[in-house]
Amino acid sequence: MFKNVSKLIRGEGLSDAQFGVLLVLPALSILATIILYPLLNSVILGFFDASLLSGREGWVGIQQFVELLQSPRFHETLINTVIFVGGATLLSFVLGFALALVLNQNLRGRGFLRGSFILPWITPGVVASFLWMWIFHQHYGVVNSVLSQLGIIDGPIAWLSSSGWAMVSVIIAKSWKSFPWFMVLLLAGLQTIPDQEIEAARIDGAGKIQIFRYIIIPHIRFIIFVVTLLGAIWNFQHFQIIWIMTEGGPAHTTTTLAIEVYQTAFQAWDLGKAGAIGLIWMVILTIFILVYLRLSGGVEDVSA
Amino acid sequence: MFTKRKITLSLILVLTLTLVLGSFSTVAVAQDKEEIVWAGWSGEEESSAPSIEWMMSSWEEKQDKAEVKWQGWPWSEAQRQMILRIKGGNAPDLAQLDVSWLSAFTELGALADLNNVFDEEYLQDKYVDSMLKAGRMNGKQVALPWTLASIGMIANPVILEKAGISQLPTTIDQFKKACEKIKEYDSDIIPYAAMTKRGATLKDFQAWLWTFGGRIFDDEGNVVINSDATINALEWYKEMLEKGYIETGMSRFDARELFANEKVGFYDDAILAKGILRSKSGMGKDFDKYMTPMLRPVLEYGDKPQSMLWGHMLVMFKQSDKKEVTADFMDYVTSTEVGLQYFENLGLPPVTEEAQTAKALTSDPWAKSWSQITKYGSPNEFWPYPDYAQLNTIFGEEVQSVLVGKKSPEKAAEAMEKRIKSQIEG
Repeated sequence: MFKNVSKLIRGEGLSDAQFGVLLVLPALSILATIILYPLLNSVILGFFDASLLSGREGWVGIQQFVELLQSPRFHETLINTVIFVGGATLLSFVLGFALALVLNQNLRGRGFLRGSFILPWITPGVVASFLWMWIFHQHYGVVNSVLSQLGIIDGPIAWLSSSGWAMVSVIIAKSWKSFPWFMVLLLAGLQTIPDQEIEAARIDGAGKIQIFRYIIIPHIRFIIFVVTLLGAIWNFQHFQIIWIMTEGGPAHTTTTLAIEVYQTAFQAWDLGKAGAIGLIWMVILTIFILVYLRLSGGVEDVSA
Repeated sequence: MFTKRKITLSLILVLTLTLVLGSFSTVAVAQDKEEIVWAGWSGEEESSAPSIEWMMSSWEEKQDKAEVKWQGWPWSEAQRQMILRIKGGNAPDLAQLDVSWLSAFTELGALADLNNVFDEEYLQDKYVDSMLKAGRMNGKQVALPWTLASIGMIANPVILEKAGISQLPTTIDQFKKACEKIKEYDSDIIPYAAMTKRGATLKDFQAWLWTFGGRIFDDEGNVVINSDATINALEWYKEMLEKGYIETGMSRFDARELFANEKVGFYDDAILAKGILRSKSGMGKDFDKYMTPMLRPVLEYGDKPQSMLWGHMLVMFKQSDKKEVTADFMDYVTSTEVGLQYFENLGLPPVTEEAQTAKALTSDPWAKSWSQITKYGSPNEFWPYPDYAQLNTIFGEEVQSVLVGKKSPEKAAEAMEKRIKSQIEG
């Protein structure tokens, strides 16, 4: 046995690939414990009537899933999630892409500007949430103050406590936090486009819009696809900005899946139902990921 | 191969070091004194933190058996954090609880029976009987009262006077007229900073529900909230919003800030508002002339002014292995001496029989007025339920849905009944 261990230590009899696997095995084991165990436990809880206060009480099968899928309130949560994910991803993408196009030009102070625009991304999420909560505050907020002074509004708007504006407010806050990530990746993509192609197009008489449509977009189509999809997946899981700014209100109008799970587990103490919501959530995200895996191969091939 | 060997040996060394270092817990210097952990939220609030600090340090000076370590969170997080710690086997020794949380912690099976550490007769002699009863669940004494009063209304007499209101309103109609006059006097002042923000404080609407003759449960425990009284109360609240007398998105935190800056005519708070408003206004005791407790207006003359009981309790956890010394600290914190000092600092009424006749209490105008408010106090109707927080959320969400125009009062009352029934029945 000692000979075998000694051989192992000397790396004899192992290929480089096998040796590599051996090196990552401890980290993988820890990762599996930290991620797999809670994941499996949460999935299993969805099939039980389980309370955080009194423990697991009995098997209920798919009853909780059926109740959720038939519940108008859960449908509303799903719709809120789609609106939040769609709005935050789109706004972040548009802002990020616009700034990437600007920063791709040969501007004076470009380096400083690139650094400055990263700031929202590195601001801690809780800090950003409170910042925007105060910006949108009905009485003390900058938004109402500016709009009022410009004569656009007569009186303060309750941004975070009116059913339409609350969702707009959290989308704006999340987009502010996320756009630098879009900007950085899209800028990296733009910088891979050969200058000669753009120059050649210009010589051939192509305008800016034609260059954008026929040269830039095809070149970075894969990057656009990846950043948009990953951004959407992260927005799907986002919790803190919505919780701090509105707690899912007013009247459930900003409650997304993340908020619903939290409230179900830690206000209603209903771990079973929270597990069921979590599993439905995971299924939806899995569809996203499968789409990504299926299409990314095709998009990458075309781009190449 | 030589490189692989080096890498493997380095990896084994790193793993071994990590295991060895990770297995050391924080090295504790050998101490003669025990340490008990006290959890809650008052130690996190600016106005009450010095009092909590004083309680701990003064007890430590009186005895040499133990020290107290504070473990705090904001009120909105405290219940959740404590439950998670208990489930994780890391419960503190004692905790400050909101009286409404007792049923949840009892359901959890986490609370120690205090009759195992305190003599029953001693407790009955020491505490006001009704306050001691508030800490009994399922026949066991699971909590000691620390302070008990109710959520009442507070008015700014200076604003009222300037608005031409000569006396505190006593009926709903008078209250509406008073709000109208405040609005006319200064449109920047919010006449009534009613709780309308999503969160635990929307439970305040229950007191208005009772004012209009509504109830959530009848005497047999049936859900009866879908009633004309509820619809009338919701319609009134909606009307108050439409007239600009209340605002959406108002939390107790916002209301206190605005009241302390003389931007609010009336708002709802607990008896400890005096200390908080003195602190927030920056004026200290000079702010006293800007605040006065008032009875909640009634629907018709002769009706009982409603208020919701409120209070803090002290509990000991079963997981504690220092029950005797913890009991000693709990006894100290709820003593007459400490209670009266706490009352002087923050206006929170003490709970011992002896303290009820203390001059400091009987001669204090704020406390005297508040005792009238508490006289008509009723417990939150959701108190007996372990999922009290979720029931409050349902109640508050439906009230909010009326205020934001998402539902009519009729639909909201119907939804309240359906959802509350569903939550209780599981």
